Amino acid sequence: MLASGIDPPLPRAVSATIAVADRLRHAWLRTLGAPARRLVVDRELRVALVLSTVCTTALIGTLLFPLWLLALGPIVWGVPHLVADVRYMVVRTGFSTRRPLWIAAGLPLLWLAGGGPLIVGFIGTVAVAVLARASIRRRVVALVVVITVALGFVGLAERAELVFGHAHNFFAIALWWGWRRRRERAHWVPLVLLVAATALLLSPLAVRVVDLAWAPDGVGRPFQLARLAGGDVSTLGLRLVLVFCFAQTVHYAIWLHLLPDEDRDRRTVVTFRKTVADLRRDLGDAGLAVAVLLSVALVAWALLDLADANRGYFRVARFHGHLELMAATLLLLERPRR
Amino acid sequence: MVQRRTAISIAVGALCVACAAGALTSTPAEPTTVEVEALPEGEASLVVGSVVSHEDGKPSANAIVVLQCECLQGPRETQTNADGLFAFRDLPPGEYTAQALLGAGEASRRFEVRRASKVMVKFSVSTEAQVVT
Repeated sequence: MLASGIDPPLPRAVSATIAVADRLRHAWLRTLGAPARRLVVDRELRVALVLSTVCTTALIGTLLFPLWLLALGPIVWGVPHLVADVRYMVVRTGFSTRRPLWIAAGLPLLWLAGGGPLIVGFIGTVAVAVLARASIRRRVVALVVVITVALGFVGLAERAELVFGHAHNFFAIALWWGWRRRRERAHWVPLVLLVAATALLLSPLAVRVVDLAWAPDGVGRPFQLARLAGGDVSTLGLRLVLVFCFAQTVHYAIWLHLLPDEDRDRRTVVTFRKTVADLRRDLGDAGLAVAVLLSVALVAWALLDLADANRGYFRVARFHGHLELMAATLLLLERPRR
Repeated sequence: MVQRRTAISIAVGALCVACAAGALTSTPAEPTTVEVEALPEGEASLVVGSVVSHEDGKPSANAIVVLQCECLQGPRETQTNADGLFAFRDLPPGEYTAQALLGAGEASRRFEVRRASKVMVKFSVSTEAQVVT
């Protein structure tokens, strides 16, 4: 039987640290004055500005030190972004309270996690589409789309994992786009930047300016070419590595900063204290502790062996792309008709 | 009674454990062996080796091998010849990382190169597609 309880207060040291962080941020915003005030209250503008900044810095990082960004990104942001996945796709949607979904989605995800083939994730997506609380017509359309996409991936054979991995980065962008109704046009700016940056990285120009020799031990060109380009050592393979580096960075920023901002009922910025309280409400103290421990453990592992830690993280995270797919299918099917 | 959030944490933890367990049981071992042989005093150290496919054990031509060390001015790169062999010569002593790329598979290994020594590295690389996400 499930029940909710009242969480005990945070340890004094943690509360004090959060209070200091809030005071520092408040002082910083006061220093910035009127422009900051507008960003604090106007979510559309704030989200557009943050995502535009993320796109720009991700592009600069990709051009200057792509192999470092690819190696360190998952170590620093990987676990927090998995936690955000679970929080926004499972907990806050209420899907975790629907027991049939635990079987329909849970079993395929466990199978995938244990090394099952990609098709298992699509089987799970078909199963959740069948169980969705939507009209039969909507569910039939969803089934046709999912099965068509699944057959497409089957047809890709050994390239399926690679294509899924690349597509999954851009999937988060689509999720962000569709998360809530937009009233203004500010969100078009980061979208245009994103498309322009991707086009630049796929062009011959990017490969000419990028230094792919500077890399951490064990996670250099061979590692990333094998993982992100199917071992293609031509310029196409290098471009795929660069695009993934950029898209992965944007993907993490969306999960860790933009979706949380978009998901809140309040349009204004919230304090760190409120953020921590919301995390505790959604994940529980045990869940939050597990998340922090996993994050710290991964960083510790990376300090010992960065290549092994990268490999280990991607094995542990294998389930989450399909979790996003299943949850997004449910969200799309169950959203009210306009 | 179990808190809902605790139940979710346990479920996610089970997923992560399943992933890790799957990695341990399904990923074939790719032994990369390293042997060291002393050379006559004064001779330059070198790293030689081979790249074989884990699937059939056959030597692989045109596999890319990259050697990294802080003691070098940038990484060195070469390709295996028709017999799957590679060589890096005139190397200063230091801690090295060698990576081999074969198809969609890669392997890496760290080792030490001492003065007047010959390090022989044999990569066995699985060309199975790797997990990307």
